[in-house]
Amino acid sequence: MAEENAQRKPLLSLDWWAVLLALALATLVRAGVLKQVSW
Amino acid sequence: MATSVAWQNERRSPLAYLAKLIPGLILLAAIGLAAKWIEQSINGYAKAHHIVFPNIEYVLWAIVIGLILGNLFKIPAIFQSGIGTYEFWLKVGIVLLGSRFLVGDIWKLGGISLLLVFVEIGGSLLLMTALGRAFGLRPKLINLLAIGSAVCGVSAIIAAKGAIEADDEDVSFSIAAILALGAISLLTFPLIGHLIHLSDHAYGVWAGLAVDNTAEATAAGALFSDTAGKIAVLTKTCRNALIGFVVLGYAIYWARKGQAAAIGNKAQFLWTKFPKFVLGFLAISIAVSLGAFNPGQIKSLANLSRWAFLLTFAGVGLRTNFRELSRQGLKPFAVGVLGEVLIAVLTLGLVAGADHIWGL
Repeated sequence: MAEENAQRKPLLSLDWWAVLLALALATLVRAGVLKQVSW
Repeated sequence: MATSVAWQNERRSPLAYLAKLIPGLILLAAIGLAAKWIEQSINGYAKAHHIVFPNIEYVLWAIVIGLILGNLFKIPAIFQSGIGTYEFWLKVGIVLLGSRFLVGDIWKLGGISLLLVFVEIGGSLLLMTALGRAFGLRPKLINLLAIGSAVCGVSAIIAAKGAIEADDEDVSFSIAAILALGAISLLTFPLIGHLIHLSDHAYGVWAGLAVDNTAEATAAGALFSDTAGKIAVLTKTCRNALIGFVVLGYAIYWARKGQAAAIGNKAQFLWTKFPKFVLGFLAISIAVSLGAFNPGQIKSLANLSRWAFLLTFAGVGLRTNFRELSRQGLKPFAVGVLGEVLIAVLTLGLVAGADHIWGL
């Protein structure tokens, strides 16, 4: 059971994935890959 | 929150897993784009025909379209995984929103907000506990309702569930009450804010203090104004940051009564419960304050945050199912409504006081 739970544990929590994606987007904006995101 | 955790825990290859999210993501994006289109079309029509028409924000349209689809039709299972990601987009949006705050702003507004949050949490816990006892609710259900209304809604209830070893039934009661109250807040808070002529800052702090779920607090703020939305997120983030301390207090209480496992390493417990997206929000704000981004890039980051929130608002509407909410018990809901009304009045008083002293 413990092994099964350990297997099911995600690599990173939802919060960390959100932080990683946001920082990746910020890096792309900083590098000029994402230019002038409009709204 | 439950759904968003469920979509993350599934075991499958990364590609198959991402593919499963696509239909729901397309639905969220389609609702968001339709909301933006409706807002722009109405504004364009009113302007072209010189009609004075109140600006109804895309936020409201996204929620309304989601509510209509989610309540009038049965959303096929193929969309559910993608819809469940709305909480993920909320967190991405909050981290990127850090670009709209200089560290000095966070220091000033965050400091005031944090002070108000301490009073709000203490007052809410006492109020909900007193009301729950008066209505004869089960002790752990009272705790869940108190934690949900004092800290951060569904996330706090889920965090407390394991720590105080609450029944599944109590958890679903509490979540349903908090979600129903969140939906009511979306409609009532902006109306009250306009009626009593609150400033953007004062309203934002109020929404961040009094609306329980982060998604609903963000939407309630954005429904008032863009600035109010940004302030509501900052205040709500201060509230979220304290989740660990409140849950730890209840966990120790129930462990002492022998009705929950004892907490070993308290520092580790606090770190586990701490919402990590707060760190991302601060990191982006520090980078902007240090001049790492030019004004055009800051605007792009702020717009990326708006796109992420657009997906969130569509998800808020889709997942609010009135039929399911009405199936829950009447008593917890009555305690929730009474408690939330009192908390809204208490926090409004707090905001008015803070505005008078510090000038929000």
